[in-house]
Parts: sequence; C-alpha cells; structure tokens
Amino acid sequence: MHNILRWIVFLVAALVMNFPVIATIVTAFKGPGEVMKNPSLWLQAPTLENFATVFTVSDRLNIFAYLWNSTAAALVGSILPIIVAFPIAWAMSRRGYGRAVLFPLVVNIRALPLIIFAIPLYMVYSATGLLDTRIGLGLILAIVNLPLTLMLLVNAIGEIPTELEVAARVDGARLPRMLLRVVLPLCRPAFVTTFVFGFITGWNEFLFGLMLTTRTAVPMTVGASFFFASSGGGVQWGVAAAVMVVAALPPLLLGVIMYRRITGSLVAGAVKG
Amino acid sequence: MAEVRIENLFKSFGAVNIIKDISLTIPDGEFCVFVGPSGCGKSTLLRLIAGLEAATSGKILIDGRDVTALEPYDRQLSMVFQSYALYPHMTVRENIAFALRTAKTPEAELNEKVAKAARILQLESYLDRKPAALSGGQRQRVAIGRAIVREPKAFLFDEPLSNLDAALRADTRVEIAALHRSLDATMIYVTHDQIEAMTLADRIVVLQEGQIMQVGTPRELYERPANVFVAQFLGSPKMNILPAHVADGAVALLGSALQLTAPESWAGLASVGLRAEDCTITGAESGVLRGTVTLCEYHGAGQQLFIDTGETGRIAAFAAADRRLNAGDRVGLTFGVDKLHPFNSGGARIA
Repeated sequence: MHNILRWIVFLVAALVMNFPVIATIVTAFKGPGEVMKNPSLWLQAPTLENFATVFTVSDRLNIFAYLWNSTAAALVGSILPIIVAFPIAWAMSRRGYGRAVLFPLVVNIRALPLIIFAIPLYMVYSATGLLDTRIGLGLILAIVNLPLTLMLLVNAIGEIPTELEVAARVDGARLPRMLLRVVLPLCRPAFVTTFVFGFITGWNEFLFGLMLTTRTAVPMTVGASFFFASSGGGVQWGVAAAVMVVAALPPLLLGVIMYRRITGSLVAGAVKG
Repeated sequence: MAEVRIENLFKSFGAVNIIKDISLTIPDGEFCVFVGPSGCGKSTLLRLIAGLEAATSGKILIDGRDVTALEPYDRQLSMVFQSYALYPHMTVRENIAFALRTAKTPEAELNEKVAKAARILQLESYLDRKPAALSGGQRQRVAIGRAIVREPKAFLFDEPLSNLDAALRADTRVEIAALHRSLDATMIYVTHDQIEAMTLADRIVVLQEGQIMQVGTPRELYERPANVFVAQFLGSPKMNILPAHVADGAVALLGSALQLTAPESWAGLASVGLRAEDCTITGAESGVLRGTVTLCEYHGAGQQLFIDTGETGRIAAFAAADRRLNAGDRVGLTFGVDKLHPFNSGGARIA
C-alpha cells in the first residue's frame, strides 16, 4: 500500500516537473486546429505535419544548416578548450604555475555576464572577418567553456598519482611523451565530461549566436526562434514546438550516450590504494 | 651496469637540511641497502641518485660520469616504487615495454626482452591484463619487470615490499635476492626494515638525520656497530645499552657488583652494549647481574625476557623455550666481557 502511494507521489512529481517538456512534445504532434481547440495532453489526431514544415528547406529557413552550424560551433567550442587547457592544467596542477592568481581569475570569468564583452567582441570579429562564421562562433564558445574545462582538468590531473609521472621520467620519457602517453590517457574520463558539458553549453548558447551571426552561421537556438512566426500572422505553436523538440535532441542524445563514460576513474590499479 | 659514486652531497628543502655531506661509493654489481628510521633522508638520497630531486651541492657520478645536472630520463636508471606506480591504462606487456618503446627499441628485440622479463618474473600468463586485475604481489613483479627489461646502469628500489603482506614480503625478498644474483647488477635499495637490509644487502648504509652512521656488510654492522645508534638500530630486540665506566682496570656497571677486567683501550668508557642473545640466564643467586623478569614473550623457538635489574636498567635477554619463566621471577644474568660493545660518552665505539 505504502509502495503504491509512493509511486503515485513520484508520478505526480515527475509530471509536474516535466510538464513544460511534455506539453511541448505533445504540441509538436498536434495540427494547427487542434492546438487551438484541445489544450489537453491527450492527442486526438496525431500528425507529423509540424515536423514536415520544420524540415522543409526554404529561402529563409534551413534547419539542416542551423543544425550543422550548431554542431560545428559546439564541437569547436568544446574540443578547443580541452586542447588548450590540458597543458595549462598540468602546469598548474603539477608545477603550481598560475595557481595563485591566474586560476581563480579564469574560473571567476564564469561569474561575469558575458554580455559586457559584446561590443568589443563584435568590433574585433567584424575587423577579423570572423563575423557570421562557424569558426568564429566556435571560438567564442571555447572561451565560454574554458573556465570549467580548466577547473575539471586541474582536478583530474591532481588525482593522478605523481609516482606515475616519476616512473615515466625514470623510464626515460621526456615531458611531451610523459604527457601524451601517461597523463593524457588517464585524463580521458575528464575529457569526456568536459566535452559533454562543453558541447551542451555550446549547443544551448543563444546570446553570441544572435549577436555574431546573420545568415551563414546561424546556430540552432537562434534559427529555432525564426520558426515562431515563419508565415506571419501570429505564432504557429505546433511548428514552434516541433523545432524545439528537434533542437533539443542532439545534446540529449549525446548526454545519454556519453553518460556512462563520464563517471568512473581510470587510475584504479596504478598504485596501492 | 655501473658504479655509483656520491661526493659531498647536500640537499636542503628551504632551511631544512635533509642530506648533510654524504660521500659514498657503491661498486659495480653491489647490492647496497640504505636503512634508517623515518625522516633519515634515505628516500631523498635515492631520489637524488635517480635525479628526481636536484642536489643543493655535491656530485653524483654514474660510471665515472657526472650526472648531477642530468634529468632522470638521461641517467639510465630503473626504479621500483613502494606504490608500484604501474600505468593503469596499459596492459602488463605495455607497462614492461614502456621504457623500451621510449628508447625506440626495434619491435622484435622489444618482444624478446619483454618475454624474457615475463619469464623471469613468472608473469607470462598475465601479459595482456591491466594492473587493476592483478594482486599486490603480481603488481610488484610487473614493476620489477619494468625495471629489469631495459638493462639499466643501476636499479633503485624505494621500499618495494612495504605494501605487501608479511608472507608475500618474505617470498618477494627471496626473489629480489635471486634477481640480483642472476643479473649481477648494481642495486640500491631503500628500506626501514632491518630484516630486509640484513638479508639482502652486500653492504648496508645506515643513515640518521641525513648523515651516514656506518657503512659495512651486515655482519660488520651487527658484530661491530660503530656507534650506539647503529647498535640499537640493527637487531631485535634492540641492543641493551648500559651505563658503565672503567674503575681500577675493571668495567663497572651502575648498581652491580660486576668485576670484569677492562681492556686498556677502554679508557673513556661511558656505556656498554649487550645483545640479548649474548646474555645467559642463570639461577637467581648466581650471575653477574640479577633482576626480576617483567615480561616474558614466548616465541616458540625461544622466549624473550625483559629483566628489570634495578639501577643497571632494563635488559632484554633470550632464554631457552623449555625453561619455565614467569613475570615476577628472580633471575641472574651472565655474559663474557668479550660480548660487550664499548661506547664513549658521544656514543661512538671505542674499541
């Protein structure tokens, strides 16, 4: 009896908390008429019409371009900070460089509202031709992701027993080989974590996407907003819901696929615990 | 294989001097053990030889070549760590081969060497496992395999057995001794365990507070300790040190009517050392010292006694296993003057 009650409570809680998501998904399958008449979560005449509209490429709307732009920018924005931060994280963790000032400074950049960089960034981007390019958007996403990446990597390297590095040095390995063959492979779980977080952050970023792109490099988040009033005459809620569903899928899938690799340490068996 | 020579080596961390003027030559092929209590600098000395710490001053020479300024990867040494320090993401095979790959050894030669090391250490059936799937003893053998495979100029062992349980430790100790015989390599071994030191070493270096207390074969150190520290550090139970002086040509022990003729060289005597096994337990009314048994530990092969002799101090002694002794029993002790180790007031041996 208690168990059943408990499950009812769980179910209600899950429903309430996920209501916006559920409502969006349901709306995506409703035709224009039904959106107006039937506010319930129950579908009377499910249709894929909204998705067909979303995936129709027109002069003004091209969801495949948006998806590709977001993917490219989010990949640059999540992988580049890992490449940049890895050697820095090692130097900070092992040699203590920048631990006193630089590290807290970089980490605290996260606390700043990034909009304050908007004007100088725009000017720099227009001067360097990065405006409305995927790489340009990726670079700014890399900066957004750098602090968290650095923080996670500093911690990850700190957890690798120093004896492993010492052993590699005695075994004849110079710094680059030691970093590549010993430290780097052991940081793999941290790389996966930072990649997933970075990719999702990059994918969901809206502000810089809106500001720094106009036509060719428009990301999914900004592109989705175009669908809200695609044919004039008010918001087409069904289409809007469908585009949201499509836009939310890639990071969701990535999270689900990579989740199991985020957790778990690789250093088991290195040293006597 | 090579000779390792240390000349006037100093190492300080800030204001703290860890290694104070150490000079030592370890000949080619010798098994040399650094032993001493925690914080004596033995591990630091090993790390200095490995190049993991930079010397404050002094020189380290390997094979006559000054390596003081060289990085560890240029010194061609191998090291086995207390914590094993195996690369957890590599298989046993890759762990052993790591140094060879670093040295860009040709594949055929590499495979041959790894196979040979695995055969010596009985690791053949584990080559494709990751370290996490091995037991502690196997992991330590992999660590040794990683060291032997590259034929270094010398092997450095940093308390390699400390993480193993007692039975495995004894077995691995025997294996390391066998390895030394078969490789005929220079080995430098750090331990705080005097049994390991005594059983493995060609020569023992006893360190205390960053200085060498004595260097010698286990037998030399045990039979003729140069000072009270070495005398008490080696041997279990530790050597009894009794305050003594020479009066009228005889050894006088505090609180004892002992009259043993003192050799002439013993002038300046301040204390004498006496090992537990050099004492003979006699009846309560005989013996040169008398006292009360305060503790009697039965060891199977014998029993270890602690005897309170009043003013002379507490003395550890051995008795035969079949002798019925209990705490509180009165016993006598006897020993020959030739069994006494004479020390002066500074704790140094005088004869």
